Amino acid sequence: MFRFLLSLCVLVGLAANAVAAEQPSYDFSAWKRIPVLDDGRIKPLDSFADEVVTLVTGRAKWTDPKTNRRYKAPELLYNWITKKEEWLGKPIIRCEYRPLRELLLGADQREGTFIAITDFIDWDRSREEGTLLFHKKEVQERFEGIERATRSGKKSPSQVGETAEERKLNGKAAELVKHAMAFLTAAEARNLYVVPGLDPRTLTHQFDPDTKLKPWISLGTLMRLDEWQMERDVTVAALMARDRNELEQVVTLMRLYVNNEKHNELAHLPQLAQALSLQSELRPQLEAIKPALEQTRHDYDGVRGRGPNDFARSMSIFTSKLNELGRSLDAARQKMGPLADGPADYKPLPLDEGQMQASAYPSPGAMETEILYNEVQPFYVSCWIYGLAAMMLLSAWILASINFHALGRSLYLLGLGVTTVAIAFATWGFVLRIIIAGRPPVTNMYETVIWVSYVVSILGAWFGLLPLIWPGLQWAWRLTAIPFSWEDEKLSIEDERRTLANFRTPIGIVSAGLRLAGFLAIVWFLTQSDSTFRISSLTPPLTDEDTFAPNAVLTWLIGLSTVLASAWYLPRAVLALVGSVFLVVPELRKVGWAEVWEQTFSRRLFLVTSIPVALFGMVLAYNVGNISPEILNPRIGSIAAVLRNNYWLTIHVLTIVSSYGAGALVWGLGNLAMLYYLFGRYSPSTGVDSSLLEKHLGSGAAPGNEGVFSRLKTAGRGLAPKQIRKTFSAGIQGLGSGDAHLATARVQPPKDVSTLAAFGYKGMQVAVLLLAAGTILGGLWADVSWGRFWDWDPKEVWALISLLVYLAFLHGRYAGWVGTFGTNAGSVLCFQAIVMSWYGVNFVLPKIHGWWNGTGESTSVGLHSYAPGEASGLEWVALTCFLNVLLVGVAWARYAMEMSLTNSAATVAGNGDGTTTASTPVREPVESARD
Amino acid sequence: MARPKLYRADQPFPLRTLLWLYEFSASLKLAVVLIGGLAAVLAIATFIESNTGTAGARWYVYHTAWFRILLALLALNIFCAAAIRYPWKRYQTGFVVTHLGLLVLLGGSAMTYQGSVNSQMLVYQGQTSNVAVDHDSGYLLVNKLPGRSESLQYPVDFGPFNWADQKPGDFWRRVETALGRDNYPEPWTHPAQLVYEDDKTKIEIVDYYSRSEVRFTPFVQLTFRQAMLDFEIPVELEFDANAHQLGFTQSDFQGLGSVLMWRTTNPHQFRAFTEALPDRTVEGDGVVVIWVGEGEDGETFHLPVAKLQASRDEGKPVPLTEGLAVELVTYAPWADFRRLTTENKLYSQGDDPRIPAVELKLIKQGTEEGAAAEEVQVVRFAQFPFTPGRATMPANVAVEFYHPSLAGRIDILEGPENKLAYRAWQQKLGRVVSAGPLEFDEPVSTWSMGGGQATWQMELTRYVPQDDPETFYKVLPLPFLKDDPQRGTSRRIKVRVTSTAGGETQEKEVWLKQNAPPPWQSPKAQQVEEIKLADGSTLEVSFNVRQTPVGFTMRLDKFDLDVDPGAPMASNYTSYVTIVNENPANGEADEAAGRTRIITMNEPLDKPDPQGRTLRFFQENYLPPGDGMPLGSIFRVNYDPGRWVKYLGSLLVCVGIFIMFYMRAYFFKPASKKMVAAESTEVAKRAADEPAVV
Repeated sequence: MFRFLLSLCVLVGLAANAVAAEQPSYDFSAWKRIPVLDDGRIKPLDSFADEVVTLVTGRAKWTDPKTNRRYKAPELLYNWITKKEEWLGKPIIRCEYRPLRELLLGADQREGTFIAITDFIDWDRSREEGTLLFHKKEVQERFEGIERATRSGKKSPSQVGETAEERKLNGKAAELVKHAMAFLTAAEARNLYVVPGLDPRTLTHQFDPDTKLKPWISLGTLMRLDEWQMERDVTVAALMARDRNELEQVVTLMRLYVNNEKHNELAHLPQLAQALSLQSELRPQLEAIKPALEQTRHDYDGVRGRGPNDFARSMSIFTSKLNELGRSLDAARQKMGPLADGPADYKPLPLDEGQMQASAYPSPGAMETEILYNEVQPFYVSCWIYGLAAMMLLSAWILASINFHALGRSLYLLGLGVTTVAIAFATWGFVLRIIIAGRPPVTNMYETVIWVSYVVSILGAWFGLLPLIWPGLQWAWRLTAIPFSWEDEKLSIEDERRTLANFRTPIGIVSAGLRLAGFLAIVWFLTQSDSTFRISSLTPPLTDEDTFAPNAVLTWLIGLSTVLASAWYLPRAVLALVGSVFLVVPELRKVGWAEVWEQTFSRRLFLVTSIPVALFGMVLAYNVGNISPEILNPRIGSIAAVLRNNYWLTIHVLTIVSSYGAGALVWGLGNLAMLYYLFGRYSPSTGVDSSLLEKHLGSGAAPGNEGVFSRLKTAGRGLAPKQIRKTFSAGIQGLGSGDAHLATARVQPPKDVSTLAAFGYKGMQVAVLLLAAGTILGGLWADVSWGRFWDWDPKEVWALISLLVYLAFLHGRYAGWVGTFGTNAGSVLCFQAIVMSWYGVNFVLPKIHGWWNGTGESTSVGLHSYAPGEASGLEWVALTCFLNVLLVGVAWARYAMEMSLTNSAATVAGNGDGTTTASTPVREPVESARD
Repeated sequence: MARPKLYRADQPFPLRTLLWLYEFSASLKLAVVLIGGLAAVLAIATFIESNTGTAGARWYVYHTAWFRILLALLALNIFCAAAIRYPWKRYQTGFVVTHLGLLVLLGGSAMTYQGSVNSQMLVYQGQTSNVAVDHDSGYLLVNKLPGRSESLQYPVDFGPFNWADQKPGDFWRRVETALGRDNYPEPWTHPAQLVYEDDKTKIEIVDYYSRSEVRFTPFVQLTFRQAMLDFEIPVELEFDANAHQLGFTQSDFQGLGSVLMWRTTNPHQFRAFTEALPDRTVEGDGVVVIWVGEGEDGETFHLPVAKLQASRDEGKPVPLTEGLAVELVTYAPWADFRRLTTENKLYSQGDDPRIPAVELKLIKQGTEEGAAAEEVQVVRFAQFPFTPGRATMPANVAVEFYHPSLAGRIDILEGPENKLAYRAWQQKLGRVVSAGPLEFDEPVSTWSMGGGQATWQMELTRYVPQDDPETFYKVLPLPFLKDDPQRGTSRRIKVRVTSTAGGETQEKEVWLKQNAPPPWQSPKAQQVEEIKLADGSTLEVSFNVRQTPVGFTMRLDKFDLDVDPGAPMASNYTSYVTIVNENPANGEADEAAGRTRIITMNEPLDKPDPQGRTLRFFQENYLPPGDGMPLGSIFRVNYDPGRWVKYLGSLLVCVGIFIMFYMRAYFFKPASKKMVAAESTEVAKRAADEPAVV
C-alpha cells in the first residue's frame, strides 16, 4: 500500500514537472530516429537514449540546476556525446544515499540528488593513468577493496563488508561507479552502434557469444577515425588501411584475430581484405560523419547567430549521411563472402544468412512504431486513465454506500466510460509493444505485471458490464452466424422482434464473406507469413519416413487447433463486437433501461475492485521499472534461448499469466471483502428482536443502529481478555463449518460480503480453468524443449500449488467447510501462492540456500531461473504479503468477535436456540458439476 | 450434493466397515485434506530444492515411497469420489471427465516411474557415439564369479548423499545441536548392501561416496582469510610422487609468496621448527639460527653470517653449548647445486643473492677428555630449510638459515604423530612474523599488508595424513554440493569381497569409481579391479554408469550457436547430426543410411531404438572445445512410456473443466427479470445463495 501511495506521489510529482518552462526548442526528431543496434535488436536512438539516461540520472529526463533548463533523454545524450568534457562537471549521476554522499562529498553535502563525475573522480589523473582514480584516498581504498573482493565473481558488492551499513554503502558505491562508467561510455558513444560492420567473424557468426563482438560500428569509432589504429574496430581498420600489409599489421596488433585460436580467426583476414577494394567508395562516407555531427553542434550552440532552424537542417544532413553510410555498408557486407583462393591456413566460411538478416540496416521508417511507442508511453498514460477511472469508480461506490445514491450512480456511469477508454488505450499499447518486440508481451517480470493488470481490468469490465453489453453482443454474435449452417440457431418468437431480425440472412452472408477473409488472413499470418508469429505450419511434420514423431504431430495438432480456432472465432468476435456497438442501444431498450442499469450497478463491485487492482499493477510496473529496472525491466531486450518461441509463449505463457490476472481480480475482491468485514456494519438478523439485544448490551448497542461511541464501547467489551478467549474459541470452532453458524447468528456480516464471495467464486473458477490449462500446456512445452512432461521443477511445482490451493478452497466450499468468509479469505490467501510462483520462484527461492548456510549468496534453482537477481525488492513484497495476510487475520478477528459477542448476548436474553429464524438459508447443496 | 449414505446401522459389520471406508475415501473432506496436504508438501519441497538442489529434492521428497503413497491416496480419493456418484447425471459430465482425466494423468505418471529413460549423450564434432548414459544411476558389475558363467549386475542408485552423511534424524540432530544438546555422539555407519552370497564368496557394498576425490597423502588444505576485504583463498598442499621425491610440496599464494609443506619424523626438529627463529630483523647476508635441544627444552643461538665470517677470519669456531661449536665454511649468495652434488662443497656462482646458502661445520667435542672432535658438515639453503644434509647431524640439533632475499613464505611442517606446525616469513619485515602449532578451528595470523592492519588469517581446514608408508593416496568423501559441476562423475563405492577356501577366510576391500563409456571417458581411464579369492581364482569388479544403447551411431557434423547481434546471450543451439549406422552391431559404416538431421531448441529428434521404444533427443548443452577435444554437443535422451497416457489425461482434464463451464453457460448471462426484482430487495444475499445466477 505504501508503495502504491508512493507511486501516486511520484505520478503527481511528474505531472507537476510537465509544466515546462520557456526554453529554446531544437528538433531532435531525426536524431531520435537513428537506428541503433543494442541488446540484440535494432531500435531507435530514442529508446537507447532513454535507457542510458535512465541508468545514469535515474530518470528519463534531467534538469540543469543552474539554468533550470530541462533536457529530455535524446537531447541529453546528444549533449554528452558532443560535449563530454563540459558535462563531466555537471551533477547528472543520481546519488541519493546519504552515507555515500557524505563519504564522497563531505558531511555538508549529505543531502542531494545528483553528483558530478568530477566531484568524486580525479578526472585529469584518471585519464592520464587510464583507470578511475578518486579524489579521496579512503574512497580509493574502499573501491579497490570492493574490486578485489568481488573479483572472483562469487560476491556482489552489497555482500562485502562487516556490518549491514557497510554492505549497503559498498553496494551503493559500486552502483555509482557503474553509473559513472555508463555515462563515460555513452559520452564517448562507444556503445552507440549506428552502422553495420564488415567483420567476417560476425557475418559468419563463428564466434563465441562471450567475445561480445558487435556486428555494427559505434558512433564513437566514427568520431575518432584519426585514431583508427588504436580503435578496436576491424571494419574501420579495413576501410582505413592503406594496403593489405598495413591491415594485417594493425589487425594482428589489435590481437583481435590471434586471441581466439579455436575458430582460426586469422583465417578471416583474406575475407576482410576484400574491403580494401571498397575503400574508394566507403571512405569518404565514413569520413563525412564527424564533420556533419560537429556542424550540428555549432548550430546547437548558436555559433555566429545560427539557431534551431539551422540545427534541424544540419541534423537532418548528419542523419542522412549516417543513413547513407549504413546502407552502403550493408551492401558491402554481401561482398565479404569467402574467397575462392586464399592462403594455406585459410578456411573460408560462408556468410550466415540469419546473422546477416538479423543485423541488416533497417529500411527507412522502420523505427516509427517504436518512436510512437516512446512518445506516447502507453503504459504510463494508462496509469493516468486507469487512475482516473479508479478514482471515479471508488468515489461512486463510496457515495452510493453512504446514501448519495443519485450522485454515486452518475459518477459510476462516468467511470464506466473512462474504464472503457483506459482498456482501449492499454490494448493499443500492447499492440504497439507486440509489433515492436515481435512476440507476446509476457517474457519478463515487467511485461507480465502490466499484462496481468490488463487482464484484471478486462475480466472486471467483462463481469461488471455484462448486463450492459450482453444483449447487443449476443445478438450481434448470432447475426454473424453463417446462414444455414450449424451456427445458425432457430429464432424464437422473442428473437423475431429483435433489431434487424428480418435482415438476418443478408447480414449473415456479408459477415460470412468478411469472416472468410479474416479466417484466411489469420491462417496465413500464423502459418505462412514471414514474421515471428508464424507459429505453426499447415502440414504435419511427417517428413521423416522412418521416424514417425508422434509428439511433434501432437504439438502441431495443438498449434493447428489454436490457429484454426482463433481464425474461426476471432473475425466473428471482432464483427460481433463492432456490430454490438450498433445493436446495443436498440437491444437494451427492449430489455428496459432501468433494469439494465440496475443489473449493471449491482455488479459495481467487480469494477470497483478490478480497476484499482489494475491501476496498482500498472503504477507498480511503471515506477519500479523506472527506478529499479533490474527488478521490472521495461526495455524490450533479448530473452533466454528457450523462450524464443512464439508458439509456446502464446499458447502457454499467455494462458498462465492470464490465470494470474484472474487470481489478481479475485484477490482484489477478497481484500475488499476483508475491508467490509473489518470496517463494515453488522446488522441484526431478521427475526431477532433488536430491543432485546439492546436491553442486554446497553442502550444503542444493538448492531446496525448504534452510534460511534457505543460501537467503540462494544468493541471495548470485545477486547476484554475473557471475551477475546471466547471469541477465539468460537472462531476456531467455527472454522471448517462453512456458513452454518450464520443460520443461528443474531447478526449478519455486511451484506456486500456475500456478493463479493459469489463474485470471487466465479473468478476463482476462471483462474482454475486458466491455471489448469496453462500448467498442462507448460508440461507439453517442457516435454518438447527439455524432454520431460513433468519433473517437479520449482516453477512447475508452484504453478501446481497455486492450482491446488484454489482447488482446496473450491472443494472446501463444496464440502461446506468454507463459507462466505472462507471464500473471501481464500481469495486473498490463494493469491499468495500465485505471488510465490510468479515472483518468488525467481526471487525468493534462489536466496534460500544462501540464508541457510549464512553466505547470503544467490544460487540458481530449477530451470526457470532466467534472472535470479540480487536486487529484488524482496522486503517490500514480503511486507506487502504479510500485511495482506494480517488484514485477513484482523478481519477474521472482528468477524468472530461480532458473532460471538451478539450470540452470547442473545443467549443471555433467553431467546433460545431455534426461536430465531435464520435470515440466510443454510447453503443449499450445489450440484456436483461444480466439483 | 445428492449422495446417498451407503452404510446403515443394520448392515453386517464387515460390509458396513467396507462401505464406510468407501464413503470416507470418496469424501470431499478427505479431498480437501489431501489437496491441502499435497500443496504444503510441495511448497516445502521447493524450499528443500532451493537448499539442496534438484537431486536433494528428489531424494527427500519426489522420489520417495511416501510421496508416491500420497499421490496414490489422491488417486484413490479421486476415483472413489467419481465412482460413488454413479450413475452419473448429465450435468455431472464435466466433473466425471475431469476426474477421469486426473486419474489417467496420475496413472501416466506411475507408468513414467516404470522403465523410463532419462539419459545424456555426448557427441564430439566430427566424432560418433551410440550410447546414452545416466550419471545419476549405475551398477556394480562382477565378472568371473566362481560357479557362475554369466556376469552379475547389481544396481547402484544410492542418491546424492554420501552414506556417511545419511545419519538418521539429521534434521533433529541439527535442532538439538542448536539447542545445545547433541545426543548422537556414537559413530554411525550405513548398513552394508549385500550383493551376492554363496557358501564360498560374499560380495557387499560397504560404503558409498556420491562425491569423492582421490588425494595423495599427506594432504593439507588451508584457508586464508582477509577480514577487511572479506576475502577467502583456499590453498592445497598435496604430497604427490614428485613431492615425495623432493621432500616438500609447494603452492603459490596470489603473488604474495608461497606456501610449502615439509615432513619430519624427528621430534627435536619439529620443535626447533617453531623455535629456531631469528630474534631480530634479518639483514645483510642473513642469519644462522641453531637450536640445540636438551631434555625438554631447547636453546637457540642467533649467528649473523657477518659474525660467523668474522669468527672464521679470526680462525675460531663460535661456541654454542658445552662441547658444541660451529664454524662457517662458506657463504654462497648464489649456490651452485651442480658442484655441491659433484664436489660436496658449496660454491657461489655470483654475488647476486639468488640462492643463498651456507656451509657450516658443527664441531662436537668428544665427551671424553682428549677424544678427537667430531666434525659434521651442514649445508643450509634459505629456501629449503629441510633439505637433508649429507652427513648425519646430531638428532637434537637443528640449523636454520634466514636471508633477507627470501621471498614471503609460509612453511608447514608435519611432525611425528600427525602434528602440524607453521612458520610465516614476511620478507618486508625480514623476520618470521608468527610460528606455532597448527590445529583445526584455530586460525592463526600470518602475513599482514599495509602497516600490519590487514592480516591474513590462516586456518587448517583439511588434513589427511598418510596412513601407512605403502599407500600414497586416499579416496576421500566430499561434502554434498548443491550445484555440483561434475554431477555424478565422482561417485564411488567400496566393495568388500569375502571368500572362504579350506577353512580360511579372506577379506578384500576396494574403492571403485564410476566408469563411463567413451566419449565421456577414455577406455584407459576405466577402472576394473581384479580381486584374488581365497581359492586362488580371481574375479573382476567394476562400477559402471547406467548406459542405454540408442540403437544407431550418430555423428555430429556441425554445431551452431546463434547469437542475437550484439547481445551476449545465445539465442539458439543447433546440432547437425548424421545417423551413420542404423545398426551398430554390424560395426560398419553404412553411409547409405546416413541422413542429416537437425536437433535444436524446442525441436527434438524422435527415433525408435531396437526395442521399439521411441527415444527423443533434445539439444541440452554443449562443451566448448578445449583440452585437445573439439566442441561437443550434449543431448538429453528420453523415453517415457507414460507420455501418451499423460497427454490423454491432460486433454481429459482440460475438456472436463471446459465442459463444466460450458454446461453452465448461464453463468455468464445477466440475471432474469425475476431475479432483478428479487435483487432490488435483497440483492446481495440472494446472490450469495445462488452463486450461479447473479
